[in-house]
Amino acid sequence: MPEAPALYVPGPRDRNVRALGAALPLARRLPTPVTFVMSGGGSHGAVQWSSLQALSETDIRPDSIIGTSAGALSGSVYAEDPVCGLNRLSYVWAQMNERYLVGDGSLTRKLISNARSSALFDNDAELQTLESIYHARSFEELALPFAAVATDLATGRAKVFDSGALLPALLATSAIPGMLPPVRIDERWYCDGLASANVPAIPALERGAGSLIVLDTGDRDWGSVSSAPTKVATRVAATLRDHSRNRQLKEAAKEVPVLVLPTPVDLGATMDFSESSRAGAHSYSMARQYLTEMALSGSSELPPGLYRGAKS
Amino acid sequence: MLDVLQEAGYVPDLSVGCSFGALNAAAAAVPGTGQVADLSDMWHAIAADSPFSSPTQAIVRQLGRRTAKSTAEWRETIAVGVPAAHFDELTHPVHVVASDLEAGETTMLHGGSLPAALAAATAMPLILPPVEHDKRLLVDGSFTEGMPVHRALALGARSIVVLDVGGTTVPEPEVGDLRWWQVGATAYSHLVRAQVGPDVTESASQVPIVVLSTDAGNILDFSDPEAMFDAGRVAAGAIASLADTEEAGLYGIPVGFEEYPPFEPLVRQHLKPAAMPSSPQGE
Repeated sequence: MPEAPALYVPGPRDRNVRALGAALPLARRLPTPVTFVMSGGGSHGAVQWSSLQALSETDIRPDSIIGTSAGALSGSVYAEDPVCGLNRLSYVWAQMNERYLVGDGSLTRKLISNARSSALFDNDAELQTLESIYHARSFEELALPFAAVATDLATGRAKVFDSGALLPALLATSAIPGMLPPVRIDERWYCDGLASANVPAIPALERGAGSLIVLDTGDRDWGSVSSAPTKVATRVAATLRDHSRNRQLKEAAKEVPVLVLPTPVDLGATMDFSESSRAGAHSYSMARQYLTEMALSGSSELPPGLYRGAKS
Repeated sequence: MLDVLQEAGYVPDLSVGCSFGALNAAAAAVPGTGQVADLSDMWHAIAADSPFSSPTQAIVRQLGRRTAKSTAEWRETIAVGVPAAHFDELTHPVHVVASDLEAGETTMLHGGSLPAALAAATAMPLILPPVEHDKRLLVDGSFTEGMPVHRALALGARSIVVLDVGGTTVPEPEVGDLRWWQVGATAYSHLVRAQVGPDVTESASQVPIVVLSTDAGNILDFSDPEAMFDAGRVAAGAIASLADTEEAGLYGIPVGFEEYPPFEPLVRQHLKPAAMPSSPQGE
């Protein structure tokens, strides 16, 4: 990424791209059904809104969406009504901060009062937030087929929710281990899908996808390595998620074309919502550049494989 | 497990040890007799007097950046089971798997200071500090390696026996009672375990891989080594039913991967564990 100026605004499309018409022609290269795969990543989920914006300038329309954690929340807003989903997401992300997910209260106080609980925070605030975003209360009320991936806490297996009550499934897929409480559905406990399939490419494949568009959530700037205990722990956790992500993408790419939209790798902490807009601007530019290259590099259907944009 | 394998005449030409497996692999390669007895002493020392016998205390020390005591205590515990200073003192080559914190990738250690390598391989975040080695910070190898069979393959192994300490499944009645930090540890231990599938699949098409697998409860519970030894003996007893063959494939299935589709074409024989020996803890 070039040296970021104080204000970063993505430029207009190149003249040769504009000459192609209102929508960038890329759908012809994708075997159907096309599935949007949306990763988890807390506040980094904001970059997916930008990736969706870049996708809206192409002729690609998803036949279904699958998401984990933050990706499931954004994905289901889009799936509820694809026509206005992108616009609604702009208002979600403009207002979002950690208070809408974990409520008020200091971490120190929670550490003392909730030491013996299944999570440091309760999910009352998140439930209230979800109730204000969605009008749908069941998967069946969504306009597009949508699935949310959580983790069976006992076994560690990925669990795909795609029917019945929507909000409990969304609370489950985003129940960050230790932070938000596991959710009980049909006699079993579920936590955040990050513990099984943070990038749910294999579940998407198992549901019959013909090609996958992966909307990732970027990575944070880790700075120099440190032996501070909490930094070691978060770094190790990120390594585990990374390896899981690579396994998911590698397996899926054996069967279908997997297009991974590029995302910034210089983001802040996953619960820091202050930089969402700046990250989004970069993410939008990167995704648009990548999609343009994919559209201009040929017109034939893509064979199975991993199609990544250059990392910034 | 090592006990049973030794009795059955299985002596390794080389060992690869990841995380706590590195301690056992090194202990079994210390010259002289009675290694298994030393191993037993080490595990009792881990249970009675080490950072892992009181992880909460170790975590508090870590967060206060008072790590010297934990580190010294841990090196002493390691020395109980592995009274050797260098890799080249061992009876056969031992390769230790650790994770490079910055790169997020595996580092193989097989020369130089053995205690330092073992401390790195077992440096569990929050409980023990990372170990500095060649200007890199190293932590527990299980964060980048599920079941390091392909490392053994790369080192020239023609057949592999895996001593697997089991899955991360939480017994059903206990799931709802986990505290917040246990939920966190459980979630991430599932990701550690999930690495086993692809790691093993890759190698099992090339050489025979025998998997002796036991699901002996919580991997962070070090309190009852004797019960663990019993569970290990039962699991290792399965080696008695091993067919005489050199065909590549999977002989035995890691706990938790019984229904893992990529394993299906690779499974040659389901090894049957021996009957549970009678023991005071037997249930």
